Parts: sequence; C-alpha cells; structure tokens
Amino acid sequence: MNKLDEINNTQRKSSGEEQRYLQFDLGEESYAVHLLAVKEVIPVPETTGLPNGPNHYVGIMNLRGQIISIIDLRKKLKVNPKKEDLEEAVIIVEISGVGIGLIVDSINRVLNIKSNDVTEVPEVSSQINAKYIAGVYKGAEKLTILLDLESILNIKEIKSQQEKAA
Amino acid sequence: MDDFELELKNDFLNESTDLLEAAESAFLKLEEERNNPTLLNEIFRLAHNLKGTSRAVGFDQLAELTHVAENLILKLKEGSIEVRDDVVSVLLEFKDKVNEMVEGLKGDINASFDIKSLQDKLEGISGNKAADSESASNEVADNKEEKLKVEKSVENIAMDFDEEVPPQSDNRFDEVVVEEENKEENKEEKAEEKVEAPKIVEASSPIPATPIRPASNNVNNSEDESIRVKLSRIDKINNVIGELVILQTVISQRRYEFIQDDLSNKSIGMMGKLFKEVQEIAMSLRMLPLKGVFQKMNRIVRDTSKELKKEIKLHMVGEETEVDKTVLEKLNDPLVHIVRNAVDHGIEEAEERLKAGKEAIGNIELFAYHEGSNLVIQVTDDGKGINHEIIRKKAIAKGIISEQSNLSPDDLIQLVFHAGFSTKEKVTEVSGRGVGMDVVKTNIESLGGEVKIMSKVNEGSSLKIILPLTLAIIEGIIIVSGEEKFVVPLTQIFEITQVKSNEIENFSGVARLFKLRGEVIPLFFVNNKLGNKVLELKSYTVMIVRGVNYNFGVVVDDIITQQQIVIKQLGEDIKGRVGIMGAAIMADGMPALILDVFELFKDDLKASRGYKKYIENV
Repeated sequence: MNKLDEINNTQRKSSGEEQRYLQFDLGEESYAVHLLAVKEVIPVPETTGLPNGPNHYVGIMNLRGQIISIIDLRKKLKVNPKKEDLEEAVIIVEISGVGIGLIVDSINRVLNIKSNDVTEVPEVSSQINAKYIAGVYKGAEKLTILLDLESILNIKEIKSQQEKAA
Repeated sequence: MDDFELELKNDFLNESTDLLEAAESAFLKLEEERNNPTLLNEIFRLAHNLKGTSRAVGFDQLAELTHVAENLILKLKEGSIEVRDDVVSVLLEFKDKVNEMVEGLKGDINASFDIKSLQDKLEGISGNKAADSESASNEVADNKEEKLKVEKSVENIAMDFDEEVPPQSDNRFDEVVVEEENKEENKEEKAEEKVEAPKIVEASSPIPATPIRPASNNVNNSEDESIRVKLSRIDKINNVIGELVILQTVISQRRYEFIQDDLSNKSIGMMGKLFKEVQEIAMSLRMLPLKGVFQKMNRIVRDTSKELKKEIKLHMVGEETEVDKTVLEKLNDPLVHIVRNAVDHGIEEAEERLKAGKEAIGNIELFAYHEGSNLVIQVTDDGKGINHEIIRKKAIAKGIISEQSNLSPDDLIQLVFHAGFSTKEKVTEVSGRGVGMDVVKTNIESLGGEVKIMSKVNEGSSLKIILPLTLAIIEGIIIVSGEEKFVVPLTQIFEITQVKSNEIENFSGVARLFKLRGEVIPLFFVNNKLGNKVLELKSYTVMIVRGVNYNFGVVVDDIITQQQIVIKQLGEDIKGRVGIMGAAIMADGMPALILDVFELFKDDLKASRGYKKYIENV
C-alpha cells in the first residue's frame, strides 16, 4: 500500500488528526478531495474525443507529454452545473498510479479538516451516488461533501483489468 | 529472514543473469578454442565468483553445485582433463541448471532443488573427487570467503557483478593467487609431469601486480564503464525532452516576427540544434546491442544441430548493432524459431549436402545492420531452399489458395507464414507443428516491422526482418473520421485508392465488396466503429489492408498526410479499448488516437470470410 492509499484510508479512521482537502463547487454544493491526491489545477484544455465513450467522458489531453483522460465530474455525479459563469477548471488527480482530470465549476480553497468533524454518508437527499461519498464535513458556513476518489475513478476495476492483461 | 538479507538475495538473483550469459558465451567459445588459458582462467573466475557470492548471500545449494563445477573447471585449467565435447555439454547443463535455480528462487526465495544428479555427473567427469591439492587450496579459499562475508557488506555483493570496486576485487585476486601457489607447491612435491602447469604459473603471477581494470574487463568484454539505470527514469527524460523540442519549435517559428534582437534569434536557433542532439542521445539510452540475443542463437544452433546429428556453423555479423530494449526482448522468440527452422528444415543432412556438391558442414548466418531508421536482421542458410512448387501444392491442398491462383514463385514462398502451414513430412520435436512461422510474422508485425523470405532451391534461404529502431516512433497515416483526426500505422496499410460507388457491390445487404485487380475485397467503414455517420458518396477513399488470409478495405472520410509520430501510452483508465493501440501527439500538440484496424474490424473479418468464399466460387 503506498503512502497515498494509507492517507486516503485514514480518512475513515477517527484519529482526530487534521487532513487537507481541496474544496470546489459542483452546481449548488461544495465538494472536496484529499489534497495529496491533487497533482495540479489547470484551465479546461482542448481534448480529443474518445469514440463510443461514456457520457461523462470528455476526451484525452496532452499534459506535458502524458496522455490524461478528462471527465466531467458534474455529469459523473449527476449534478447540474452552475448556469452562469464559467470559472470552470480541471483538477488533475492521481490515485494508485492512475491519473485523471476532473472538470468542476470552480475551485474554492484548501480546507484543514479534523476527522472528528467528518460524519458518515449524510441523510441529505442528494442526486449523487452514495458510494462516491467518503463523508461530509461540517464547515463554518455550509456542508462540504468529501469524495471517494478511488470509487469515482473505479480503481478496483482498473487494477483487476491490469492483472488480467498481465 | 530480515529485509536486509532478502534484499541481498534479490540483488544477487537479478544481477546473476549477466554473469550466466557471460558464462554461456565462454563455454561455447571453449568448444572452439580448447586450449586457451586466458579463456579457462576467465571461466574459472566466473565460477569462483558465483560460488563465493551465492554462499555469501546464503544460497547454499547453488554454492554447492557451483563448487563441484568449479572443481571440474580447475582440472580443465590445469590440463588434467581435456576439453572434450561431453565436458562442454555438461558445463552447459550446469549453466542451465543454475539458470533454472535462479528463476525458481526469484519466484520462491526458499525453493530447493534436486542437484544430486548433476552433481554426480560433474564429479563423474571430473574423475575422482577433488585431489589433495584441491581440497587444500579450496580450504584456503573457503577461509578467505568467510573473511569476505564477515568483513565486507552489501556494496561488495552488488559490486561483484559490476566488478568496479577496486578494494573488493583485490581480495578476489588474492584468493586465486593463493590457490595457484598451493597447487604449485603440491605439484612440485608430487613431481608430476604437467605441461600446463608452467603456463598457469606464468599466467597467474602477474595478477597481483596488474591493475584492477583489465581483469574486470574479462567479465564485460567491453572497454566502456557502464551503470545500471532504471528504465522509468530514461522514459521520464525522454518525455521532458520531447516537450522541450516542441516548445522550442514554437518559439522558433515566432522569432522572426516577434523577436528583433539578433543574439536572441541566434540563441534560439542554437537551442534547437542542442535539443535535437539531446533527444537523440536520450533515445539511444534505451538501446542495447543485439549481442545477447545472438549469443543465445549460438546455443540454439549447437543444441539443435547435435540433436539432429547435423554439423552446422553459425556466423554472426553485426552483433554490436543496437536496438531498443523492448524490441530486443520481443525479438528473442521469433529469432529462436527462425534459427531452429533453418537448422531443422533448411540445412540438409551431411550426406545429402555432399551429394549436392556442398560441403558437409552447413552454414547459417545472422546479419544485423541499420538501414535508414530501421534495423535489419537477415538469417541466411545454405541449405536446400524452399521449393515453390511444393508450397503451391500444399497451399492448394489446405485450401489456402485456389487452383487458378497465379501467384509468382516469390509470393508463393511467402505463404510459409500462413497459419496452419507446414510442409515437413514428419513433425519433429524441434519444429514442424505448423504454428511457428505465422506467429513469427505476427510478432514482428506487432513491433511495427515486416518479415520476408527469399529462397533458391538447393542454394538456400534467407529471411529478412525489418524493424523500426524504436517502438516509440512509427510512420503513420493521418486520417479523418467525422471531425476528428486519427492515426493508422503505415505498416497496416498496403495501398490507398479511390473506389467509385458504382464499383461497389452490395451483397445481400450484408456486406459491400469491390474488385481490385481481380481480387474480391470486402469493404468496411471506419466511421461505423468510431460512432460517426457514414456518408453516401460518389467516390470513397479506401485504405487497403493486408490481412492474414486476405486483403480488406477500410473506408475513411479523408487522408491527410503521412508522418512520423511518437506513440504515447493511454492512461490506465482507457487502456485496452478494442481497436485503439495508443495515442499520438500531433504537430499542434493535440493527442490523436492510434487505430489498430485488425482489432477494430476483427468481427467483420470473421463474418466476411464466409461470403467471400461464396462469391469467389460463384
């Protein structure tokens, strides 16, 4: 298990330690992903489409020589995007060696979250698939939904395919 | 076992491969040069090295086995045993066993093996068990080894194989020298006539005085120093440099418009030249000489020819020729099969050869060289050649071609690459199962290369393999489907042509076909696979692809150009999509998908086989 996995897993343990998250907006709500999974943030790039790809799949981009897939996180989580303005950005994340770019409505800030302040999956009625949620953080003003990147990126399936191919 | 010990053992296992390869080469060389004292010394050093280090890291069985082999080698060195065929054979057997053990240990670090039979064999050939002189000198050597284990640590174990650390090497020579001295004394005592002994004394006495470097060269056989580097680091460098080259091109294109200053302009130009140079060097870091693969062929020829009771000499030219590491690894199996074939099917038995007016000893030549941006490997034999008439008959019998087919002799011979083809009457253990040559062809083609065979009855055959120098760059055709550009590797395309809509026959609404120079070609539409609309036009742009069994056509919206492209791996999340083999970065920096037309149209090809036959027979 690499360091990142360990850190991601400790999200779920209540240790009272502080972890840092990157907060962003999707539609009306705020979400966050573990900061250590974030490689960089870039403006929405030009992409080349993938034929017969899933709905949320936007395409591939050339990131300094590396080919990275870009997915629309709003479509993946089935959230309606903010109508107005487009401060859209792409968060490049990497988990277990798998890198991917996520299109979000806007980037907010970095949060320091104590695991004691995180509660399990909310009863809040949300359009999102519960398995993508790692927990909910009660911040000063509003709730921030913490996302489970491993589940969103489908790491388990990718790894098992790799093993089959090997 | 703690981590440290585990690491020691694994390091040894990983680095023993080089040593074993060197050993095999040396053993094979020994068969040719049976009285070469330098060679015998080198072999002894290799065995001694292996024994010492395997014992030091705790692989006792390995050490034990090597010890027995070392005794044999010692006797060879002294001359008390002659270098005979069976001696070399058992040494090669020893090397194979060690290989087997190393591979086994890599899988299970605690594995144990049955070494008794080989040990007995080695001892048997050595004559009686170690003579007194040997046990005396071995004891001394053993003590030295214990000291080594205690005094030295990790670096030395690793260094043994790189042979670059002076202090540690020093000790090795001390051991050898001590042994020699002991032996000399014992020989004098026994007053035995050993012609070889004086030679050995002379060879060994300079050792302590000799500087370290020349001796280490014996193991590597090269003048250069080298260092092991992780492949991933080289790939990272290549990536970054690739980006630099692109950025420099952008600036370079804009400089005359936007940059007035002379010095700046000149500097930008210079930068371009330097970046290109660095790029070439970085790419060359992944290149390795063919030598390793060629040496393996030596072994294959020897073993196979002995098995079939033929005498064959293998000539190798161009073994220093370099090729990308991944290409090298994939070349091994095809080459093994081709060489085996040449020995089995190509070269006739001695009697036959003499009758045909040839020398009894057959010849096989491996010839490698660079041609343009390609690597060419030719395997030539002076055997009986391929009879195209026999090929033709066999092909018709197997339904591969029809009676009327009028392929030229040259084309007929290429049919040996066809699946299910084998003209050998007896299926030998060596070859003849008919699955070999077509696998060779697909392997080579999957590397982006091509393979062709030429032959003259009674004179021999020659197989030519052409490969791109690196896997990372291929020649591609840029096509358009819908709004997007895609890349098709040039090696997949045989011809590009325009087909008018009135030339296309619609077959029962199931398929579309057209005739190209008398051949019925099924037509497939790339837009169908890529989710784009298929337009009804007066004329279509078609790429003709050479399939395994027959040709087919792929309709595209447009063909833009042919250019060299750099292949990039797709992210893990979309790897493995049917028909897409990777991505390429276009001149404008945008990625384009690289299509594999064989995979893309796999199902359509299967279906079309049926109706194609039907149409041809109608």
